[in-house]
Amino acid sequence: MKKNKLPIIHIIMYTVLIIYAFFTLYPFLWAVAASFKPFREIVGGDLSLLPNEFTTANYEYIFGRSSLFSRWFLNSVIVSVVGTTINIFLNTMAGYALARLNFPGKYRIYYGFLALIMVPAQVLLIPNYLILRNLGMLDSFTALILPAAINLGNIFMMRQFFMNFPVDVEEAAAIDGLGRFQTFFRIVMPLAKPSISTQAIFVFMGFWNEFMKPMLYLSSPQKFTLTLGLQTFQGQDGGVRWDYTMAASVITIIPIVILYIIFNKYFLQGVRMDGEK
Amino acid sequence: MKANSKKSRVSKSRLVEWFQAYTFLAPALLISLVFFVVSILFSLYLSFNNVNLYASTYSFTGIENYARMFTDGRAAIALKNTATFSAVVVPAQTIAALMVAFVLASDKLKGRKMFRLIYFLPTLTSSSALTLIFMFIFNVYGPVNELLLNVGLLSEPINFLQNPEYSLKVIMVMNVWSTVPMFMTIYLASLVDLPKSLYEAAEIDGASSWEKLLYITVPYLRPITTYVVLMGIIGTFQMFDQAYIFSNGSGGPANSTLTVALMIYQYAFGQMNSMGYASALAIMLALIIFVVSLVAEKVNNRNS
Amino acid sequence: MSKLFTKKLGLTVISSATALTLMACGGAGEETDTDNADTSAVETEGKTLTLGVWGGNDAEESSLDSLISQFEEETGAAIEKKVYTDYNTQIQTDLIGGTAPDVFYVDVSMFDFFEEQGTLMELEPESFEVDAFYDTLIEAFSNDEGGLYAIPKDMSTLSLYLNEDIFEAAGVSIDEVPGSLEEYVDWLPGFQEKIDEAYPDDDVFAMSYTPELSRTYHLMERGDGDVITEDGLANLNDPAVIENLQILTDLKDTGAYVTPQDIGTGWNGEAFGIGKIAIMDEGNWVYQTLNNEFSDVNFTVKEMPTYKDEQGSMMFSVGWGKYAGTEESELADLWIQHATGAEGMQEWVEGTGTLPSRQDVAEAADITSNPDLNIHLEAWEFASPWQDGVTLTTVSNAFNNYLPTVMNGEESWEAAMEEANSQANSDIEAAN
Repeated sequence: MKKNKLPIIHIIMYTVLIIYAFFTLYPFLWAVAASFKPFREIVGGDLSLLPNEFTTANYEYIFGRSSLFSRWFLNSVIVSVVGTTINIFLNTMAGYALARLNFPGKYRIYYGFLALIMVPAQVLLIPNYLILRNLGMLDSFTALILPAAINLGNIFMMRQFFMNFPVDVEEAAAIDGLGRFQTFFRIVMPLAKPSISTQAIFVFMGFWNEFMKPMLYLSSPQKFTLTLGLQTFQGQDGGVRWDYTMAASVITIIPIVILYIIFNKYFLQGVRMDGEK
Repeated sequence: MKANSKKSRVSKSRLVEWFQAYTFLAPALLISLVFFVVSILFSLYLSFNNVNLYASTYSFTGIENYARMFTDGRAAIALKNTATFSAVVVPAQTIAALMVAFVLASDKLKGRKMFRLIYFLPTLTSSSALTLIFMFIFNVYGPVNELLLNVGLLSEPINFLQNPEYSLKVIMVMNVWSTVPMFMTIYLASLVDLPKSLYEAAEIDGASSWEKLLYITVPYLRPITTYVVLMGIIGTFQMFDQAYIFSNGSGGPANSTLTVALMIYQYAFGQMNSMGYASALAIMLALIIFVVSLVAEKVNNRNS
Repeated sequence: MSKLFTKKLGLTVISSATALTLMACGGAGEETDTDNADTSAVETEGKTLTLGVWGGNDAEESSLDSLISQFEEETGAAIEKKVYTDYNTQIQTDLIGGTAPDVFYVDVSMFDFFEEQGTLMELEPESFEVDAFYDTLIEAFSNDEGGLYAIPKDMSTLSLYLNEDIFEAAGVSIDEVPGSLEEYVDWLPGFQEKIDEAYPDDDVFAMSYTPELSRTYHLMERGDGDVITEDGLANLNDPAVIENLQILTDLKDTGAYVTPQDIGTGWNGEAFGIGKIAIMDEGNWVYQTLNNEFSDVNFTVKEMPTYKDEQGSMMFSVGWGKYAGTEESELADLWIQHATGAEGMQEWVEGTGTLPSRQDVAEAADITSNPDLNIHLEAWEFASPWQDGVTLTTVSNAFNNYLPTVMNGEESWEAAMEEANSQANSDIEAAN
């Protein structure tokens, strides 16, 4: 009886999964298609996913627009890589401390962090700007990286992950004579690889797509990040330049998709905790 | 917990533990002190003043900025929109993320790597680019109307973007669509750690997939669900980008996309120059989020 | 060194004066002498001036770059360009943080605000040949006491654009287009019918409008209408204003009057360019868009229709303002003189296709011989500047917020404007 039921469930399941996949993919396919269409065709309301009139002019425009393009790209890579590396260590350490260690003030700090996440970003903009100006950090990558060197949401996420972390791992390490710090860096962090890669992708994306901070903190075109640089060709009046916007979006998405595919290998095949491996 | 006779050793290891904890937390504490606590104290100060930041003049007005909220009709509309938005989006994104993660975690599923990759795509894109794409998709002659017309659900296209009845709903769809993959990924990362033996034991007892989800997966993921729900509440209550791009910053049509965060922005960066009121609104919003989060956490933990 | 520089500058002035004389524009030529007197006294070599601008189209950017390199060559000073992508947020942060550029773009609608906040330094009218400019614009960049705080770099006005292809297909002559908005109410349904016959499978509409105060302001101000009172309060629910607005719903009721968003496009330029709209009112910036992006569209430009027997249009402008906290005040003056002087402005308008804010340049740049652009130019005489005190943005937000509810038939003008008005005024009163 059970065997007869399964295929139907499977068919339904796959149908739902495929439909959902289609809804997820459609906007991207449209964006990619639009990036190869001339402006007139995009705004003409043509919904087809294949351009009638194929053109690479949008990409040529963007790449030809500024000699600084590769520089912006490099800047984004530097800020994102450095920022992500620092974040991984600081967030994981803080999350671990809040989940696994006992010390005075633990819950006060935990709820303090939680409360800070809840403050709307819009109101921190001007105070943060003034602080960075007083620290003499405006128009530098430090201004982008330092205030974002930790991410309270990710500290919180790591804490929740470590709540489920098996105690016996640390105990075994202690028996092997490893100190607390060694245990963390040699045993705990490698075991937390799936959660850390998840975090890494989110943090990297945060830096890569960050728009408000570069916009307010950077003023020299040589220091622009990609998101900011690509904005500079958007005119003030006259609506959205869909052709350039879509090409620009595709350019910003591609590196991150590649990164995701690389990380995806580690992503979900972390070490099993139930002794199967 | 260990033997009491080894008291001195225990307290020494406790000291080491304290030292480790504070070392691990020090950078996070320092950065949040400089860039959050100081900024918030500054905002708190602003919220009790009538402020002109251009001329750096402050005049103390007591709780006037806070009192103003209760007579401000727009503040009520903004709060109502924000709360409605959160009440719909948070449960929808949490349940959808959990279900999809559960299905994708199954070893039996073929092509799950492909599905994971596809489902994750929205998370990779900046919300401003996504909002623009969505506005195109939902416009009067866009694919959504086309689809609904062809299926026969509609006889006449709906102006989703201009009609106050629909505009917030479109943003809701957009938001769920773009946040589910992120939370799904977090669930998946944790599901990898779920001991298989639990499922196997349940299968021997003849549990269906549904029962396995309900009695094994959901309880196991409770700490992660706490995270997902809290981040969902915070994210939805602070929703800004989408409303800003969607309405060109006005919160229209007819205040239907006015969120509290958008209102804060309008007062902080408009010709009104009401930084004090903007700060008061922001602090009130933080308090509301805090209370809602506490309630949600209590509810989530009570169910265990 | 400075001698060499003065000589160089003198040469430039002479050559520019000659050029101007050649273009039969004597008035401005004499006044360049004031430039000379000012500039020779200033040590500019090796100094740096920061300009705050927002990103324009390619033509604007290359024209600005060319103005900059000329200036650098003439003065020996270096110019740093700061390009704003979200002007309102960024310039305010810069002004608050004291990091604003020495000279920056000031939109005419934001002028009163910037001036009131004391962020702009007063300019000497004699140094900038103010007599050569359209006086409406000089007034717009002056405060109530007559102090001048920014020099308009160009201007734009609204005019009527007609898609000749659609008229032809519908078999309607362009001359049949009525001269007054009141007549449109009766004329549009017939025109729409003919369009529908010509385009049975497509949704093509007779006329489009942009649902924003910046476009309807001039209609609302006709007769006794006053959108914002002298105290800076919103006056949207005033019977005279509401009576003026009535024409919009009358037009909407013809079924031939739509917004670009109604037909799935982002703005008028797109809707018109892809042939979905026969008539639109739009600023001269669309002229370039149509020629570059939609070059196959045949169109002609006409004067805006009259309303209540009066001519009217909107005028937009951006000026160069000098930051109150600048340390390069003289150099900043030199830049403004350079960019808004007869020669600099001519290069700017010829390069960008915008309209000059100076009468002498309009003649010199030969804009008057382009009939389409000339229509835009001549509108300066009756166009209302997009400016009305520091509360304009607040009132505009409230109006834009509620306008769609009336146009969609959900609310009456009275009810919607009452709501918009109280929204705006509660903000304005609380701020005082």
